[in-house]
Amino acid sequence: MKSNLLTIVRKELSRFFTDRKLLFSTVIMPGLMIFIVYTLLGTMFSTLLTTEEDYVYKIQAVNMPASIEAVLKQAEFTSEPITVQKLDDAKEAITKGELDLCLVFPEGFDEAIAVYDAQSGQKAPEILMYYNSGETASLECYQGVASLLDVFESTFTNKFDVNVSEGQYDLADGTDLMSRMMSAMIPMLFLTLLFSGCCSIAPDFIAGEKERGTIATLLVTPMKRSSLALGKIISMSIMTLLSALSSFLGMMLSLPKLFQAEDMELFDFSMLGVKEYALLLLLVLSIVLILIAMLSLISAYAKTVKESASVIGPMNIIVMIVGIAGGYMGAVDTNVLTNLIPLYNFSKCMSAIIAGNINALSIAVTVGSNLLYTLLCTWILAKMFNSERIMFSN
Amino acid sequence: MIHFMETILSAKDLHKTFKLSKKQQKLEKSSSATKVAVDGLSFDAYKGEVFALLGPNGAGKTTTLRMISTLIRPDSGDCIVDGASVVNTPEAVRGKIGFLTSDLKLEDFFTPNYLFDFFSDLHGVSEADRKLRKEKLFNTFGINQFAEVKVSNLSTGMKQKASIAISLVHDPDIIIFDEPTNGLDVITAKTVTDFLIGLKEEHKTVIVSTHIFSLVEKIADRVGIIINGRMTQCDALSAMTAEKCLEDVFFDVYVREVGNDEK
Repeated sequence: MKSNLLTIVRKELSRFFTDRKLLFSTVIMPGLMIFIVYTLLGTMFSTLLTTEEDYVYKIQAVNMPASIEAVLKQAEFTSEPITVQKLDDAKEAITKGELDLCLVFPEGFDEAIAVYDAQSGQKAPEILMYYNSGETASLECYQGVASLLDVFESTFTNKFDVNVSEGQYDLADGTDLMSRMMSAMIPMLFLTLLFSGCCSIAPDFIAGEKERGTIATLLVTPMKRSSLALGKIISMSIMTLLSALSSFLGMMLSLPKLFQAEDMELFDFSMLGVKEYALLLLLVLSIVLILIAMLSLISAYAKTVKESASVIGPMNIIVMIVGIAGGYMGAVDTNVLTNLIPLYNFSKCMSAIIAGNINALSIAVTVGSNLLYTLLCTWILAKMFNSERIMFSN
Repeated sequence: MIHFMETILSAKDLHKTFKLSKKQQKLEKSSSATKVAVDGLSFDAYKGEVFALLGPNGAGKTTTLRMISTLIRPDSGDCIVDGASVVNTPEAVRGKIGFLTSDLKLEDFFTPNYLFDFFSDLHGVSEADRKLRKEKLFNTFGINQFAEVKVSNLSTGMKQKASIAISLVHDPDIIIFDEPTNGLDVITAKTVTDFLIGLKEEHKTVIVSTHIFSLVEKIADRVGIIINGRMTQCDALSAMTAEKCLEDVFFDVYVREVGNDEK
């Protein structure tokens, strides 16, 4: 049993590691593609959503008061004065993207605000700002000037300030914040990546052998069916882990670029200790085994690789939903019985570990039940190898 | 002579019925949802002989051999192979036989050399025995020339030669070949035929299914004629062909069983 099991695992891994095309498409390509696509997307967004550093905003103003001009100058905004007759031309230029902002002040603005009493019920002097939200530079210019004007306005009506003095007011530990975000998102990402790895391998693994007639050659040897089933599941799991690792690396290396967060410690995994990593690894191993075991049953039942892939593919949606549910429920779901639900249990436990709420019983039930389900699937797979209706359905 | 009469394989009242899909019913031009492939078939094979199952396409030859090789289970009946039952101890049977049929394919990605070692491992063949057998079988079939070429790049004949060698990695005493020369060119077919004769000289028991009369006349000691899943005649080749050639004997049996119209 043991030696035949190893023989099967050796053969499958030898096939995997010596087939350059398979190795490239399963291990190298997923990570590389994720890295390239995310990096490109990040670069594209960054180009679209930010303006060049040395860009000078083009601003025109009607009746620009000296007080505001000084405030804008301090913030390095310079404006070109125009008459009210040129306002329509300015608006057209903004629409065309040739001008970023046009400010229209009432005549005698400084004097008017100096004598204005908010409790008089009279209408306050109004500043009109024309901009184009479709143009990044125009939008940025508008937001910058509007906030300057807000600050300027507050100097006239200021009764109290909040958090103006220099100092640290947000006392949240970065770890807490990131943990919350990651504990909800990472399990789903992991599940999806692991499942994608399974999808690239599982459909062909048994259905392909049935279709090509090579499974029958194995079935006439005296090897136990359980050795064949377990050998297939173990070798597929190793391949899936490699594929998932590649995707994970690609994702981690490219996410900072995608979110333009190089300076933020957004994906600082150093917040997890050795114990957390060991538990995560245990969880990942148990979930890969059960995922592969379940997909093996589908692959064995399918008549062709095409049929197998067409059933396995749409399951990605279920995996994502369960992954998200577990990720968000992880913090509040304290019922250990829900750890018997495959996939959900992984997501729930992983979420808890990342958030720093390790529950030994919860993890033990998850890993234990996953291993039990894997053994059950292996037993069913061995029975399927014995079923001529399933193995020779063509 | 006593040596030849020792029963090593005994098929007893084998039955096998397949379910037919609607599509298959149309192809078979049958309104029945089932097809009886083997219908109470019994025969014995003696140690060291070549036993040929002769019959037309669809007679049940392949189904019979697949039941003997434990790929499929009989609905009823049993076959005892060197003391092991195909129904109760199929794993023991698999260790005693070498089975070759066109349904069993080799993985395209691997070389004959790798697959020989792989199947030797599955059969628990020792390193020393493997080396000797590989040398002998690879020399017999001229596999050395393409031992390191992937199966996907081999010709049909080369694949067949590699398959035969690999099915014999464990040096079984009972060898079951389903249509051993089908689809082969005359040169490769002769290599296979000569090899079967060689196996007989080594006192191996060989069971072949075929519809080629010349092959049966050349290699068989005894012949069983199967028609519509039933053993209609079973005798020594010499006795069966004492008065008529095998082809005439076969058609006499066929007309008797099926009638002239079906011919």
